[in-house]
Amino acid sequence: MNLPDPSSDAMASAAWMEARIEAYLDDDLPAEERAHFERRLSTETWADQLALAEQIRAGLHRLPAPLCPAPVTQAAIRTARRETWADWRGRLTTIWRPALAMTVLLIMVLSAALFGGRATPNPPNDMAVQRALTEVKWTLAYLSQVGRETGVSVRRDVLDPYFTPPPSRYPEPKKSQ
Amino acid sequence: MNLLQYERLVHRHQHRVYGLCFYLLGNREEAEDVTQEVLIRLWRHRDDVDEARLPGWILRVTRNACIDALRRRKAYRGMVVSDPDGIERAAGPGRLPDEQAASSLFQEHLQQALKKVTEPYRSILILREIQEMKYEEISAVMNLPINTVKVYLHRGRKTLRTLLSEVLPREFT
Amino acid sequence: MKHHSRRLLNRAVFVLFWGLLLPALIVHAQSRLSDDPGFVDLGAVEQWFEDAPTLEVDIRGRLLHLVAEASRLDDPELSVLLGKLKAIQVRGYSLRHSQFDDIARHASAFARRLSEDGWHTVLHVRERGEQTDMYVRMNHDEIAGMMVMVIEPGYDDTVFLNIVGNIDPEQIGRLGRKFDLGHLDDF
Repeated sequence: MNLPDPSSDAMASAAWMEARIEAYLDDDLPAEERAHFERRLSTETWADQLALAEQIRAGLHRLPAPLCPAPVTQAAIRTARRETWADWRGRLTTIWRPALAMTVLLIMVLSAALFGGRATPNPPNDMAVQRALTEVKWTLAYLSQVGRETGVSVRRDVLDPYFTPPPSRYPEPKKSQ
Repeated sequence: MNLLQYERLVHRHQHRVYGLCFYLLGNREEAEDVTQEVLIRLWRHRDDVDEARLPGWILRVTRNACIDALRRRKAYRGMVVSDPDGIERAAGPGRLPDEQAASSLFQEHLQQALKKVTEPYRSILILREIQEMKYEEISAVMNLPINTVKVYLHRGRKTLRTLLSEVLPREFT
Repeated sequence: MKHHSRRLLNRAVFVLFWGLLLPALIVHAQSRLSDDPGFVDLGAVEQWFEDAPTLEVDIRGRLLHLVAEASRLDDPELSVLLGKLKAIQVRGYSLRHSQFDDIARHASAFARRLSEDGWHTVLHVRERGEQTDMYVRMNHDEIAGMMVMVIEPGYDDTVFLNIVGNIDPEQIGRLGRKFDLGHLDDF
């Protein structure tokens, strides 16, 4: 630090004292400067400034270091897990999904052409199907949670008496087979 | 870095990151948003960061993210001038968790004064005085030489003294 | 005879061609999901956010049927419910507190358009920092679709969900309670 020359008349200046308050509290002053600083403390209003500097340090040390709320870190960790899973799925996708898609497409075309009905579904242990099943369960669990948190249950007998369907803009949906 | 290592690092650094966000941004909600951003950024840059330099890196990223958030706040205020009272209320800082510590008049003035200290002095004050980091650690965070950190710390303290001298009655000093 | 044979052959090819193509066309016509009254295009929602969705579920058509089949042994009631559905769409987004008001306004405007299109409001909750809307679309005396919008700051707490099909809401609630959201949240 560039402190004013102690041997000059600068010692008498406010700037000299101001520059040394923090260094004094840090016990960083050479002996001669420390002695001069303490002499000026006893005779002038610098004692007030020193007391304030000490009070500020104590006050800052008393300020609490707030703790990070758990949901914040949990959300970050969830993201990392999700991206790890997506990364693995992506690698599998480049290998297996085209083959699966081709197989499903061939079955669909042949079934529609020959029988006009649904093709035989793939075995239940297919990875994409299992993944989709997990997503379905999550969606239902989520809906159920929304309902519980808001205290709402959608009941048909509540809807029907009060609801007069407006003229539909959409065509009648065809009944699925 | 695998998932387990990441979780360990998150738990190690979460409070320091959040604490820096809290004091730089002045409110809990923004601090939570930015903390989450920073922790996710750690995951996405996990292969680029040397674990030995991680403490400095993560707080540097945190500080930069807070500065960005403060700039966005100013830009938003600049855009919406028709409702200044609403903005002022929305941007108002929340109270610290430990209200007993902040209850004295001096502590309240000190917190207000800390918000007025400009960068980089404010970051250094927070890291040194509140988070009790060593000079070497602060030097790594701020990317400044240690002596510069000490000088800036002194300037920050001096600024606080100047601000508090103006507002406090004599009996408090 | 040759001419007669050729005509028969042409007729056979014609019948075979349309016999193969027509079922495919019928199946294709039936699967125009966007025309279904219970369908909501969540593409409009994606425009409100700068970032890509943090959560994305899109199950429809053949995949939905396969899932129904896959659950038949373990959970017959789930299988029956899924058999009546046409699509499940979910989008989750990251939302900062500072974005809440903006997204909530978009969601409210979106909700008004749903009402104009015949969707019936089931739920409309406004709390400090959180907004939840739930709508159902009726088609004669059956529910054709359900739409849920939850706007809440967080990483993936802002969720838009559309279920298309003949829904039994009580059945959904009953089934949903069986599945642990906390456990599935790690998927």
